[in-house]
Amino acid sequence: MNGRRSLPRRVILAELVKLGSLPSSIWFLATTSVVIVGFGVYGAIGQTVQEDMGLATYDPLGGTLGGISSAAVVVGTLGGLFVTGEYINRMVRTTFSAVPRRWEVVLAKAVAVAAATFLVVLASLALTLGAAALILGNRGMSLALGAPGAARALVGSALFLALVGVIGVALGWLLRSTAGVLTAIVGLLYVLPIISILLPRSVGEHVIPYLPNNAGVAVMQLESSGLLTPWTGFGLFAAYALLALALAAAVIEMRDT
Amino acid sequence: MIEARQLTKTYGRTRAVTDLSFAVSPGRVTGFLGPNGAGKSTTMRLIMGLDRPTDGQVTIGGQALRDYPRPLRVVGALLDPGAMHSSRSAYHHLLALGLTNAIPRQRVEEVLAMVGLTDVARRRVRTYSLGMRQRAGIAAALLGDPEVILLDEPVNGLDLDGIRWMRGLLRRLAGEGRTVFVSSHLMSEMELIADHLVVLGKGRLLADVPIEVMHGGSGPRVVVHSPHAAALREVLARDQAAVTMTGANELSVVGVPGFQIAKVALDHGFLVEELRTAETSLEDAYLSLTQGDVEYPVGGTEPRQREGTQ
Repeated sequence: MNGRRSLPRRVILAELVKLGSLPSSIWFLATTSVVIVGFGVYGAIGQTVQEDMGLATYDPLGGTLGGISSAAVVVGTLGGLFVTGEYINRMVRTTFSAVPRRWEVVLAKAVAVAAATFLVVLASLALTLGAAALILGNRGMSLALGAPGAARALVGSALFLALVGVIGVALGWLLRSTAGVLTAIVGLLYVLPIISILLPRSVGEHVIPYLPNNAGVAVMQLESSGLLTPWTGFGLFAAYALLALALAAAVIEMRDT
Repeated sequence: MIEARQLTKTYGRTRAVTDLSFAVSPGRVTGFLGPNGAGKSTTMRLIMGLDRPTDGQVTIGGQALRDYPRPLRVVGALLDPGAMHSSRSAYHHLLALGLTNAIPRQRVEEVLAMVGLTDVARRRVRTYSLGMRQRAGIAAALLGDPEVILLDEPVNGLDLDGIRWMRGLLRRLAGEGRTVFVSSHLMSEMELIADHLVVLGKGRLLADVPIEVMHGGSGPRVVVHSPHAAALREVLARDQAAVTMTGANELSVVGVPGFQIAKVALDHGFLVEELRTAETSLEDAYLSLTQGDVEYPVGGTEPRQREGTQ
């Protein structure tokens, strides 16, 4: 009766099928793409306008990463919804009956969302860069993908959003409410950095760079700002995401369904 | 084979299941009977490892379900009708489910054909009728060709055709030597499909008997009034009789004829104040067994306190 141990690999494959067979996740991924391309093209146009007015700050990527921050809320909600959807019709009971080692499901969902997000973001950025090259080219400007840090910022932005998806998945398990996930994501990524500005400077400089969003976007910085160095910041953000996921796995292992 | 040993489950201060021990054997349909709220669904979730027992344990084929690398091949369950995402098609639901247990795509098509959903398999589950969802749930339960099948109220919401189909399916599965465990709150349904009954009331085991015994096939039901009811019950239970305390001094005995009860009582020096044979239908037998165990009795304004919550 016992075959080979079912590997998390199979569970990951199953979660990819689940993700791909839900209209809602397709819509969310499409929205992510639209936001990235839309804001990115808008950013490129902005560059040309600023150039005309003589205000342009040099951006080797021509403002094409302008949509990443906004896409974060879409990706986070996608991750959350992918989990909370399991609770609507108690689908989760079927899932856990098939995979009683529940942490595998927690992990597999995170991997599925992260992988899908990463690919969609990269493809969207490629599209955006193509459009930006045309727009900038019309004004005799050009992208400089070979500039220091440009490639890292591009790939890093896709990795950042992939991890936002992971946080969304973790929050989905923890909160079991789509509205809750949305609120938490907005709070974590958008509100917290704003509130932190109100901190006294002496405290703020020890706190602000370590906030999840600020750590996460560090990987996209092209010149050093007040943030952590790119990969240190990214590493910290990855640690936050994995911590959230581990917490979710621990809670799910203990909880009745 | 499902074995529950001293299974207890408490949710907060509510005791859903108390000290439940029973075994479900292969090759027959075992009905899991009890009024709504008796703890049937809780027990099923405990068997499936979905809820953790507060105390005791349950095994399938001698092992906890969690210890099987491919649990779908061991046990298939239908717990909630359409425990599947309503925006996904039945085909993709089964495909993903199968992938986790290394079940080939071809088997997905097979079970879909078995439950007659091939034509609609790629439609979203939300477009299905309740009966179709129930069938899709059955397909999921059968996906791994499991030895043990657990169905929670499978005929709920089915039309007559669906109910007949379900009865036939359960008989066939048991005929193939599988362990089939089916819950229902309707005795009339169990009468038609079950070979054996496990009866639950207020989370406690009331009876674990072949259906003929419930039927009175091996003797009618006998009502005994005795100040030594509890002690008499102990003695009679040793004789394979289904004995239930129906009152402080009242026993309901199935499986032992009246004269024999009288003899046992005499042998042990128990006073018997009344001994009356009641010819009963299965429905009556069930009702008398679960009487007082209904959590929300009809006509009552206050739900009764469950036992043991104080």
